[in-house]
Amino acid sequence: MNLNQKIKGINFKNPVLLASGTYGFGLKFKEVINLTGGIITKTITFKPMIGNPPPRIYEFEGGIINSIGLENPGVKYFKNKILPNLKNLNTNLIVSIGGNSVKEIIDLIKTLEDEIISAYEINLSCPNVKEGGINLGQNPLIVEKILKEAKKITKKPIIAKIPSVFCNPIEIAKITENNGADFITITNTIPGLVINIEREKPFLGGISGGISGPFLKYYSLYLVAKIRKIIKIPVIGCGGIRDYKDVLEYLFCGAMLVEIGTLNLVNPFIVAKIIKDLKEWGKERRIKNIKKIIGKIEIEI
Amino acid sequence: MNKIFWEKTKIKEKINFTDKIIGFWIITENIGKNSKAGQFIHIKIDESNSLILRRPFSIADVKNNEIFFIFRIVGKGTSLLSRLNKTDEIDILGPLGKPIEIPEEKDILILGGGLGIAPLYLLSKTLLENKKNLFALFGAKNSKELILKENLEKLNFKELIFYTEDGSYGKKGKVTDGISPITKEKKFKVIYSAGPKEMLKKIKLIFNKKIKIYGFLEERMGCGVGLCSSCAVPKNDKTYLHLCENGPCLLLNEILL
Ligand SMILES: Cc1cc2nc3c(=O)[nH]c(=O)nc-3n(C[C@H](O)[C@H](O)[C@H](O)COP(=O)(O)O)c2cc1C
Repeated sequence: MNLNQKIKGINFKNPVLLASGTYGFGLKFKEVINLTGGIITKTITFKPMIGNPPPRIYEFEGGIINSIGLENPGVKYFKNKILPNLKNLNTNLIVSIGGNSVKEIIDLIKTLEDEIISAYEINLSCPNVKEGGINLGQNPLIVEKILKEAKKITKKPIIAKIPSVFCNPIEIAKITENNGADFITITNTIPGLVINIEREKPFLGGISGGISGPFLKYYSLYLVAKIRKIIKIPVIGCGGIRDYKDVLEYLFCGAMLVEIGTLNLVNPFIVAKIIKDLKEWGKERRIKNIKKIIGKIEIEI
Repeated sequence: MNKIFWEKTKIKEKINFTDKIIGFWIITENIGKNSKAGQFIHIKIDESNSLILRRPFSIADVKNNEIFFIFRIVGKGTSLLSRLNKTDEIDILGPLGKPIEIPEEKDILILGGGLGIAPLYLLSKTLLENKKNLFALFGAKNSKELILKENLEKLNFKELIFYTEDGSYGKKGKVTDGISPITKEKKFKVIYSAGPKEMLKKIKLIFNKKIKIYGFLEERMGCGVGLCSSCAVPKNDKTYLHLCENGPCLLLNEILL
């Protein structure tokens, strides 16, 4: 099965991408990265962020909860010290950007605009300082503003990674499309809390965290199936993928690409196996092109 | 970056130190050959995915392509692991973490408590191969929990003193009780330690700040290979190190315990 797709001018050698925050900045395991359709680097912010106190990770049957706190070295370091080492990547470099305000995100894009980057993924699940606990992406007006402003200053494709709770994800998806997003990623982690009953306080150092992993697939998949009928821009499915069968579920529901997150924490080599399995699955069924299976199942929800 | 391997390894030997402390010798293809003192392996215990993340274990000894590690049964993961037997398979990533650097100083103090003795065994062997003079204090609750004592006795320590809390082997007391007598005779500029966090905290308090104290730390880990930033350890300047990449053996002088 030919897994190659050219979407919005970007060539993806296969539909499997490495999700932001789960494969660092692309400096390690380059031979694995080069096998994938692309890497989405850890979200960077304009200024460096030290991240949350430990513990930063909790595990339960069905997934994990992380509260890394967007630890990253900031855009200047990324541009001067990291990007030069990524020039030899033989796949798409997608840079995840985030911030606490519209201005921060715009400043980030301005700083990176001349660099060799396939696309930006805007992490809309960043807390908005002006609105306390609310994420940028949970406010439709802010989503509109970010995309409008971003489109004015960049020629690179923009992927909007939307939050899926504490907002109407369908409405947010429409807004991203109407304001020029080239792709949409569904979805980021959903918020969660764990209590340490012995210490009588939250378990995670950052208090709450983001839940990801196998359990998330069912919600993400539902959203992908629903949203892709409402919008026309390509959908990237993300959440809970463990193997090639999970990838197929997303593709059948209409996602053109997928992102793998938590699984990379379990095994940094596993994406190579997933891509190989996917190819073999198609070969056994004599499916010539991946396009034949994308959105194959009609789902009325 | 050191090369990292993902392998299905086989258990060659199981050692029950007590009914709660177990050691495995496993046969690897490449991991053993590439392992150095200070490093660890990351084990996927449950293939059914009810435990998603791997569990890190210090490398206690290496012989060609074989690796020895020891653990105490503390939770679901270690309990499942303890049920494995000879010829069973274990899915591991390794070798991970930063190998220790061989210090310039000739005389080195080694302090190990409980399961902390495990990483210090390979470390001691490595330092001895590098012609260092080692002075060591190792301790545990009782004689049975004093792991690897026979192996340690065979190594060429300048001084080797054991402590048990119940006096069933060596001197009665804790490793930290032995620090003052041994440092009266000899001044050390470098120390390697491993054991419960309370012990490491105490060691840090006892010694002058100019003395380099290395310690093996434990922190919840995600990937173990420097991709996810989960295993944060706070430094004195309030920024964070990542245990899987910068450790697990860290200069305790630089961090907040
Ligand atoms: C440790 C960790 C760190 C993450 N960091 C980011 C991040 O910086 N930016 C982002 O957009 N998503 C981040 N995510 C979310 C993932 O990219 C992904 O959307 C989510 O985990 C769902 O996919 P999964 O179930 O395959 O993990 C992170 C997830 C994990 C587990």
